[in-house]
Amino acid sequence: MTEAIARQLTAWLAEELHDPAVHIEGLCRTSAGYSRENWVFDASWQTDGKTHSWPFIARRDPVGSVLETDRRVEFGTLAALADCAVPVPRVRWLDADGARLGRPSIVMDRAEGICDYLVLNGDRPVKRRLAIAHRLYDRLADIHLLDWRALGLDKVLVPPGDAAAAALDLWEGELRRVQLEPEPEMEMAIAWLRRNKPATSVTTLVHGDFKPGNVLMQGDEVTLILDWETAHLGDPLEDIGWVTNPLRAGEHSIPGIWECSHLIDRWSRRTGFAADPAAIRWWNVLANLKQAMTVQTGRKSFVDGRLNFVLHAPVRIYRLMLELIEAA
Amino acid sequence: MRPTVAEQLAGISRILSEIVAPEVAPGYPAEILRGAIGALNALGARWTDIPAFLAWDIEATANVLRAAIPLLDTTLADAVRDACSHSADPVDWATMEARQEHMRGLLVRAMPAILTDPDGDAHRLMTELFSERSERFPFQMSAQPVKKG
Repeated sequence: MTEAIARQLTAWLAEELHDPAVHIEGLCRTSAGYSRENWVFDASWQTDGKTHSWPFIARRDPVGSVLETDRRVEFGTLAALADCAVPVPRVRWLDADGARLGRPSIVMDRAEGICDYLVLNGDRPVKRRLAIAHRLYDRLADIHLLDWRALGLDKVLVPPGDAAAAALDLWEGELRRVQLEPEPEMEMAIAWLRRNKPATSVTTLVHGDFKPGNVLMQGDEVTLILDWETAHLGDPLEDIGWVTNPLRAGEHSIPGIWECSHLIDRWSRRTGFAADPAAIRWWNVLANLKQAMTVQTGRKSFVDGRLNFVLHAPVRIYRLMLELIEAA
Repeated sequence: MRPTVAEQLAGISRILSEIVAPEVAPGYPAEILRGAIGALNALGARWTDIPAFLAWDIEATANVLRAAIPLLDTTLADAVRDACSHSADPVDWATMEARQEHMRGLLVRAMPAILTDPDGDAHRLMTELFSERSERFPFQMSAQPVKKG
């Protein structure tokens, strides 16, 4: 497969870079990320007699995934964010219909940096980890503070109106599309979410999967926010519900000094947005519904012979979801 | 009947780990192979627990549905009575799997009625079922990949 991708990429870049002799080396598929194929490579080419070389990454839709998203939307979102206050990967080229690489893909610059999903609970002294937490979640606040209309994001993403209803409709629709068997626990959660929807506090850009594992760091600095495939316009409390979900506490918190309350207080001060606890609880439950849905999508893909690892029913996520509901 | 199912699963896992894995290219293919061996090992460790889990799940779900009968419309109540009156051979896996799916489907249909009575027995039994089910479920969401080398 690698040889075929190399040929296709070479042909594509030759056209984009106006050099039929463009050369690609070091192409390999990384094991990072479950939702897209990530192919890293270096390209060298000539322009006006000068030789250039650059590191790239191609993100291609896999045959089967845990998540169905649109490369056209991801590319458009990143292009709109190219010069904003939030550091994002520089996108280069889009293959929206798979004409280039067989399946929809984007090519972007490959940046230097370390991706460490447990950076907040790693080996650094606690003061440095706390400083990293501040930088990290300030970037999340900065995403929510972007003027999405001025950036033209409404040409790529659809303002949801009722953000909670839109999110619930989306994920319930996904369940109907992929479910393999009756899922009473999911139905109970959906019924609760339907009955207890919060009003939209404000409409902002929502990252959708913000976590330490989706940023690049150089030293203690957060240099790039990655993985924008689930970005959308919605309620910023969706991201807050995601990063305060007890399921992911090991990634987002530092016991005793950077708990959910610290994160929410700091985010609220920086953005000026209200953080209604009941609404955050609702988005916590939805966060677990989303997590469970990635597993359901993966189970379906596996059974259809399109995913290369086995997933079982996410019963622990069901339990957490129902505990959150009971405590509400 | 030797090799037993457990012995076959363990043997296939050993072949993949000792013969195939060292020859597989590093990176994505090796990562996928480690995951596949991990899944095979998880299956080998827990497959014998599946019949008992199915039997428990069917019966516990039937208990919720019996308690919900007073809340259900006539058609659904009759379907629940009918489903609860049958039993399946616990060593007939295919029938047990189909029966489990049928009972959980009935629970989905009964859910709106059960949720109208949050203090009722059916609601209490349902939340107990969901909680205990998460403890008894034979498999983790994803198997631990075997370690490199």
